[in-house]
Amino acid sequence: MSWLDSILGRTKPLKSNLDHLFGMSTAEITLETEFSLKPTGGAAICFRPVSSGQFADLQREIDALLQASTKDSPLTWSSSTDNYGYQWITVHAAEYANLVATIHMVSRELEDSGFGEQLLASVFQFRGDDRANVYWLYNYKRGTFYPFVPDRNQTRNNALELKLSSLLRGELNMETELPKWYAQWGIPLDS
Amino acid sequence: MKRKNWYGRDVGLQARMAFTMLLLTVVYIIFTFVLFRFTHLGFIIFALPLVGLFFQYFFSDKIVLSSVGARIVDAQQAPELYGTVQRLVQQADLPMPRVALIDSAMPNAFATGRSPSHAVVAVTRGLLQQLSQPELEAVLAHELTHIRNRDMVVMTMAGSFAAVAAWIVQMGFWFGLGSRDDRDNGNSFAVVLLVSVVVAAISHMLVLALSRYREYAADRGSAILTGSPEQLASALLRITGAMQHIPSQDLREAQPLSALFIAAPSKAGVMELFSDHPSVEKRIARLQRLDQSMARS
Repeated sequence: MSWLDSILGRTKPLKSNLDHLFGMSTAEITLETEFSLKPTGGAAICFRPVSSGQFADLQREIDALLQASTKDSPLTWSSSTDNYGYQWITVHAAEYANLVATIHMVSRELEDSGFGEQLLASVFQFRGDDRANVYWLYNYKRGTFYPFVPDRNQTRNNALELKLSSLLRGELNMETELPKWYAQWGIPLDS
Repeated sequence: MKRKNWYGRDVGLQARMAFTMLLLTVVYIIFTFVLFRFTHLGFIIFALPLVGLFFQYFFSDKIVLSSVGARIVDAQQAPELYGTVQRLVQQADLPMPRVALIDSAMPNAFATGRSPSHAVVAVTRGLLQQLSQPELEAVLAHELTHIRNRDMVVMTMAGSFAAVAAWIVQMGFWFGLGSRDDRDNGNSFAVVLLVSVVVAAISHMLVLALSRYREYAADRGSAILTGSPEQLASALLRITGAMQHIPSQDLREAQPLSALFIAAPSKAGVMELFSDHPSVEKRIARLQRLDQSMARS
């Protein structure tokens, strides 16, 4: 926000930065070949629903868009609301490029309709040889990726997260400020 | 495909805020002129209370936290509260503030700190107990909007010269009135004292008006961030309803700090002019209008 917005107490919703989201479609290959982290084909997008007529229309448009894209390549999706009141659209696609493109398409639709501030994060799910989940989170406000590796009891495997982020620095626009590596517990992708 | 914003605009609020700030500036310029024209101590008279005010501003987080007995908590101690704040700051791209708990049964919340990176959001135990999750979220979003709008800086600056004037009036009553050895000096002192009284009174009213406008702005910001103005409205009702049912002991304790809290003990009618918070009825009416314009958008 500019200083004038601050002085006048004017809330201007932030825009979302979608520029770096597509980085995931190439990083996926590196993750699989070099770190044997296999994509599960699942990804999700998390946003804050708005109680407005325009937003209800938007939900229908998103559904129609998803419906239309299944014609090109198989795609399943579902929607749920979490304990914090945020809405999740989870998408599963056989083809990875299509998965990233679908997440981008839904994000673009929200952003273009003026709900960019409502976007919280999107999540890409991977799984290691030990069947443990590794997530990549995309922060829409900063246009950055960061890893999230949950252990049991709401703790994170920080060592693995740091390793992954340093190794993929060249491929993904990595979040460099560690305090911004927000945890996201209870991601509604099957674990 | 340019559509109207779903959250609409509030040009009236911004205009009133700008006008109040303009009036304050005019009053302060006249005040400065009088001080430098009629005393030889203009600079010192300014410097002393301003230095005090600066310290108060700079250490606002520490001062306020210790005066209300708030305790900083981390993600382990209050996972749900912490998680809710975290999602909101992630959405608004603010630095994560410190989160504090106050051991009081009265539901209330406040934000303070000199900048977004030194901010603290504090809530009472009563707030956590009495509000639903979406209501709590709306209250936290209101406090985060105060941080986002840098209300601590704006209100400190707005109140700066008012504090100088009030200080002079106080000093005048303590020391000035008795000693009049020099007739000429006595006259200019009387002028300065009189002007200070007027400036202190007018600027106090203007600062209160500005504070009320910034509450409206924070309500708006909360509605836009959470997308649900009705949750904040219902939280406000619950908070003020509880205020009327809890012994006044608690109320009086909270009074000096009320500018920081989400809701203050309610004053209606003309008395609202002397309050730093708008009446809850007016805030709810505004939130309902916002709700309607969102639904129609």
